Amino acid sequence: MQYIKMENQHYVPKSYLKHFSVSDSEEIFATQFFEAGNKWSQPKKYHINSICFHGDFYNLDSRIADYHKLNIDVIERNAFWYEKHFIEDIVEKADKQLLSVQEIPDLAFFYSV
Amino acid sequence: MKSRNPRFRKGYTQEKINEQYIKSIDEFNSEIEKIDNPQLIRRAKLVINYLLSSIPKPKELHNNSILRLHSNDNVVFKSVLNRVVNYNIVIYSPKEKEDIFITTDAPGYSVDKNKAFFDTKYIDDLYHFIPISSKLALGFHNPEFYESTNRISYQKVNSEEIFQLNYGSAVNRTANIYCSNENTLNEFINKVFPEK
Repeated sequence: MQYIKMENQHYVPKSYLKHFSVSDSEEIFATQFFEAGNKWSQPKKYHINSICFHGDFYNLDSRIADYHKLNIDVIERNAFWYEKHFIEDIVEKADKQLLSVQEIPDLAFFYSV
Repeated sequence: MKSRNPRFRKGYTQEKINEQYIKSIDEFNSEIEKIDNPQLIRRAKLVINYLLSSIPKPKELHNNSILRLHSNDNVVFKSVLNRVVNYNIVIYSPKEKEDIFITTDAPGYSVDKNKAFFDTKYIDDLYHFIPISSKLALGFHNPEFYESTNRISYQKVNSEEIFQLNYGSAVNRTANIYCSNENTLNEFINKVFPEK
């Protein structure tokens, strides 16, 4: 049985949110819709670490991880390869109009997966 | 970005999962009735009891699909990828300096041939849109409806077009909208949802 400290796992990558942050910071303005009050909150600044995450969102059930001989955090560590450099690269290349046809499969993966 | 979102997990409701499992177990049960060996029947019933006690949760199924995708073993995602790989890509950027793209807690959306918005739709889909920064966005255009000699093209969009693209993001959010500029966000919300 594997035990691991609880971790905030982002379902919208921080490396993606960074490109919507206030210049030279890792802060972003956010507003939330409250169904109950039928109202939007006043926009507030948040650090990108503190939004779009759930604790252990992608961790496997330890029985399943043990059965398949996988680490329970295998998804968070390995599945979202595009978080590391790809997002940064495509933003830069798109800005310079340098995206090439060879990058289409990765762009398709990034969007749909 | 789409399949990892909690909205995607919501598609795996416990009710649907239970329904599917119970249906398979019922089919299994009707097969057992055809057996006339009491020992075999007893064993089969043990299997059924085990299956009933181990019905997976939405989180397990969602993570399992991401895991299979990672090991290139997810047929559904493979077919989606094979489809999107053939789409024409348009990179949008604002014509006006002050215009920016917003994003949300569920980035990206689909527009079908009736111009209706969907979180994800790959039937009769016109295009899929995702902003990648305050100043850049990607459009994946279905070649059935969007002919282009270039697989990748670049397009400057005016303020009204930016508003429309941002509107799509806003209505496809789960709860939150994000933006690099407080005033722009305020103005946008007041324009799209004036009564709220």
